[in-house]
Amino acid sequence: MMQIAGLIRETFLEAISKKVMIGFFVISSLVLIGLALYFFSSSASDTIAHLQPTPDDPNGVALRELVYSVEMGIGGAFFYAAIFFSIFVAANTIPSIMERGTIDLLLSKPLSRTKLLLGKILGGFVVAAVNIVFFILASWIIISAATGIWNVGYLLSLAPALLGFISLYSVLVFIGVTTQSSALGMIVCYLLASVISGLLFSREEFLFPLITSETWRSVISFFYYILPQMADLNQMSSDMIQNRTIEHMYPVVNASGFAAVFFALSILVFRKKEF
Amino acid sequence: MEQTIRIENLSKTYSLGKDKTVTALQPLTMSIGSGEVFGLLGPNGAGKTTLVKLLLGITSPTSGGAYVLGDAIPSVRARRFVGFLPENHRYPAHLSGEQTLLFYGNLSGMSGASLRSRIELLLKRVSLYDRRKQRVREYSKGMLQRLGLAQALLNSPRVLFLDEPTDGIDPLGRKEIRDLLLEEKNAGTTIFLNSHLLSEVELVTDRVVIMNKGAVLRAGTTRELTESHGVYTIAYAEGSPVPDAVPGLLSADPVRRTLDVSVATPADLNALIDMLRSRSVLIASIVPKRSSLEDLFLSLVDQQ
Repeated sequence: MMQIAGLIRETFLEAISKKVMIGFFVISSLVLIGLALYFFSSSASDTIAHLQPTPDDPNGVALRELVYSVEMGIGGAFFYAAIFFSIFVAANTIPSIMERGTIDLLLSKPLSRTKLLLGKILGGFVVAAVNIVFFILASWIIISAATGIWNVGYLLSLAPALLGFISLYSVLVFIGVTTQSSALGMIVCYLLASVISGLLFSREEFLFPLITSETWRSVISFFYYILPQMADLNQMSSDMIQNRTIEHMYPVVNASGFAAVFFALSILVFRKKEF
Repeated sequence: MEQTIRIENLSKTYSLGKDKTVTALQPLTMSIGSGEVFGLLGPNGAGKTTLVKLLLGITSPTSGGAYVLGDAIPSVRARRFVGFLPENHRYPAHLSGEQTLLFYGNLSGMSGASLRSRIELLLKRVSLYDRRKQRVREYSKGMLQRLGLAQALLNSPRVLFLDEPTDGIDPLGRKEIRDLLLEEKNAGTTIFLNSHLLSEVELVTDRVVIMNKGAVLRAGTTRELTESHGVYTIAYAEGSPVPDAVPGLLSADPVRRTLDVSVATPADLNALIDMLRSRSVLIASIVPKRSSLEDLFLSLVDQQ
């Protein structure tokens, strides 16, 4: 346990030293300050006061809808921003330990290769999670304190964002272990998160009209089901914020399975790798 | 003597792509005893670092095997008692010297007050205590090397693998490191030393292996390797007649009043001494002539 804790701590200090994490923290804090200034301003207070439960609206639906809309806006924008930023911060976690002179020393310590890689993976995850959780938690407290609507769904929307990051992070780790390239890992992850995921999500609208072959349509659908479904996870996040019923859990299963496979492959490669 | 490291037909061949291979280490069998300072010499590409990497489980053997502290390699358990200073080591640049030792101490399974006090002790021992809060990226090569040595000693190892420990260190620092190694040796630590600095190796090692192109060229104690069998330096006193027509004479130095002679047997040496004395040569000393490790190393590598 001490060894894993040491690896997480070192990864965290590395992220801080690179200033990117601090940059994100500063930007997040500025957004949060802006949010707080707005929500506790007199004009927002007047609006909130007007939307309080009335005999015509005993459950305060109007206020609740306003809160959901704001949280949807923040959560929706934050989902991709957080994932993109987290990939950027975590990109060098694995390649940095694979350098000659670093890896020799790490492998000479009394811990297995599996434990060493898991420690670094956890370190990268903690770095990303701290930022994501900080922003969502702080914005939740500000909005809830100002409006009196404590929407737990907004907090729960953290889960799809973290899961989305984990699934892409597993690709980053795998590419890091096999090629020692952080740039390649970032490119692949950004493509997966934006272009590929977006196209596959809306395949029936954009791709299928261009493709007549059923075989190719099946191939595209196959990739939709095996690759991380970022757009679906984002949709799930929105549904959670609005306290809607989650229609299907496949994106969770898909992201978890995808991450498990890539982490397992990374460990297998790392255990056999010659240095 | 108890064996700390036992190597049995250990070899390593790297693949360089399609049908191309390079033999980094030819089958090697040897053992290193407890408390021994063992020197591994050889030019770049001799296989020295490959051997250390194999013993530490950093790379896997092509054939054969080895035992470190009784455990077959690779062994996580054995590594608890091993310290390693790699060549061209890179420490996390964002950490301070103290944080670096804390990190590697944690990886060695150490924590708490015992680790803190060990770090303080070692930082003082390698003269880095006053610079402990400074970032590693600001350290000089010599400071990094001393930090590396402190890192290797963190877990009070029973076996110490040092790859070029005096690289980049000034003569004074080298002397400090040599003293530190001798302290460790006296404490019973087995030391496995890779170095290009042959004079350094000669000063601290008990036994030496000279390697080139993955093969052992010569092995033995430092004394055995540097001894020139049957060659003696005879010094004669001032005012003594200068000897001439000496059988087996290799060279004469009239200024230092010495003769280098080669004899086949101790009886021949005694006959030679009798002859010199019969010519009224006053003998001051007779010393078996030794070559340096460097001479031996260069001649062996040249022969290849």
